[in-house]
Amino acid sequence: MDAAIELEGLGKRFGTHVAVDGVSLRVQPGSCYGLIGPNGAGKTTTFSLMCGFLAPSTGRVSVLGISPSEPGGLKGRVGVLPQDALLPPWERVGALLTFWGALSAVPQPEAAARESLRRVGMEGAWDTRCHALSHGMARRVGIAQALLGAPPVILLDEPTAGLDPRVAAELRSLIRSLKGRHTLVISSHNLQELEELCDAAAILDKGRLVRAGSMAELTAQAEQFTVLLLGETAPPLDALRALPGCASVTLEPGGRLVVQLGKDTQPEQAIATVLRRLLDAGCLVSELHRGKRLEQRVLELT
Amino acid sequence: MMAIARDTALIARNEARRTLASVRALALLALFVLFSTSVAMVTAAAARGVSSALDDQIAQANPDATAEERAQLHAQVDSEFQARRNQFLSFWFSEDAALLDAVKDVPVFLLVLFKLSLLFLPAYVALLGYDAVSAELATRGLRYVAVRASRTAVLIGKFAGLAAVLLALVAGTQGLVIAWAAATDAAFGPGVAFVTWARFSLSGVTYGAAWLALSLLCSTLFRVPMVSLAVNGVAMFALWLAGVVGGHAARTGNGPLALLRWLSPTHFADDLLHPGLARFGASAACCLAFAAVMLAAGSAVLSEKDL
Repeated sequence: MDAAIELEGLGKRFGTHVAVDGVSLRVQPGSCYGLIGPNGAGKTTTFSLMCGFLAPSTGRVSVLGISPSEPGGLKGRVGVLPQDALLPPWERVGALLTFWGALSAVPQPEAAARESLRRVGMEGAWDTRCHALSHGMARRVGIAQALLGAPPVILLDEPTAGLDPRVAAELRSLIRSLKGRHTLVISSHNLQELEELCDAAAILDKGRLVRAGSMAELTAQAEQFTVLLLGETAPPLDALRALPGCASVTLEPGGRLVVQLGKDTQPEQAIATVLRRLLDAGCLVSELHRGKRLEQRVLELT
Repeated sequence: MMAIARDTALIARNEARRTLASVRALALLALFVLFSTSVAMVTAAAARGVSSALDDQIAQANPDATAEERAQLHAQVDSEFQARRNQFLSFWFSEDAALLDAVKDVPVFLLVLFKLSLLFLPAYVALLGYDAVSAELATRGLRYVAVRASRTAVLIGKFAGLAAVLLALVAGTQGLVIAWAAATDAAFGPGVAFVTWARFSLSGVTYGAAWLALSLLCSTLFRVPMVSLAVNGVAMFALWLAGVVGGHAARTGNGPLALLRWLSPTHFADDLLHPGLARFGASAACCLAFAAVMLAAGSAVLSEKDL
């Protein structure tokens, strides 16, 4: 299948500073893809190259088979939430979104603008001037403009940054509902959010691609799982280590039992066997997590 | 191509709507009315002085003069008035006899006002357009538009929108002043007033378009609007100076320096009111060509710029 977004040896330098260095990755159509990395890793620069805001110094970007630097090439195909772009302060939200909808060649821009605002819970802001919006409200209007006309590719840079937990959860739910019908790329520092939303991700550090793959691969879901134990009962470590498919079993402080799986082991099978043995031994299980936490993985790699 | 034209029209309409709704348009309108009123008062006072001197000349004439002698005196006074008017206008307006003849029915203060407004129009235009692009580069707001339309459409759309605002401001303010002149001067009839208004407005906006394109070029070059305005001011002054020095050199027969005048829209503006179609056409075409060159340069800069 052709990739919705393809980066090949992509590089960007600002003077002598190399912001992105030889990044290659592919985003499959309909997937939700995360861009991960510490500050200065090159996430926003890579994101801006995908949107055509920046011209690559080296390499190639293709979005739906089109170069983003082609004049007007992304019209109606890509919705973008830029990280730090301000809304024009004196414009009214409704008129602004209608104008942008018309520029995106959306058939009924005003109706599309109203629908987009409704989806982000901002239908009441139609006549509000942008300077009167709070940070969170402006962020939601920004997301509404990215959704205008239901473009096939939606690129969101820090979509939930600065939002209160309830609104952030609503937006995550909205993003989840877009999966499958749109190709989504999300750049964020919120690793828990990315782990929850994304099918695949790229981890960047100092402008280079450190690792890219499905979320299962990145978090080593086929390689280990962790069981959080409660109570005083000691787990039968020797018996667990003797189980087929368990390469190693370690009990960490706080009752965290980490089980490394052997090669070609069915993780579901091994999980069932280990849990049965723990319950038989009278252990209390409070939580089970497959693979490593994304945060842990990113810290290991960057 | 159709998409670019459609985007340009949409951006132009939005830019015009936004600018007209802003405080800036109101401030510029107030500034122009203030300026027009001041010039009108000064030139009207001067014209009254000349008229009163000539009236005194008639009053001091021999009371026993025959009707034929009186008619001769009136003709002489009229001729002197025209000579003084042309002498005044040749300094303030133009030395071209055909042009002076074409505007002989237009009140002097309107001609002076028009000439002075052409002098100040570049500054007026700079205040209108200096931040059209740079402000959106500074806030990165241009990103919302750049993902939906080509950058060339953005620049040309902004130019067209601001040119429409400029036309509205110039036509509106000239219309007010000319209507006032027509109402207070019986010799300046509605027909002449309308033609004068149409010519002044068309000439003003053609000349203004050249400077507006320069302002937009400066606005694409810098992310800080105040820097854009400062560079715009320096560029305008340099071009005005090139026009003045080149024009003077051309009159005194100095070859190489005379070429400088072709760099400046002020040189092209001289014939914008000329009754000869060829000279008016050439002048307007030069102003529009200057605007096209500036816009092409602005478009090239914006297309290569990191937003």
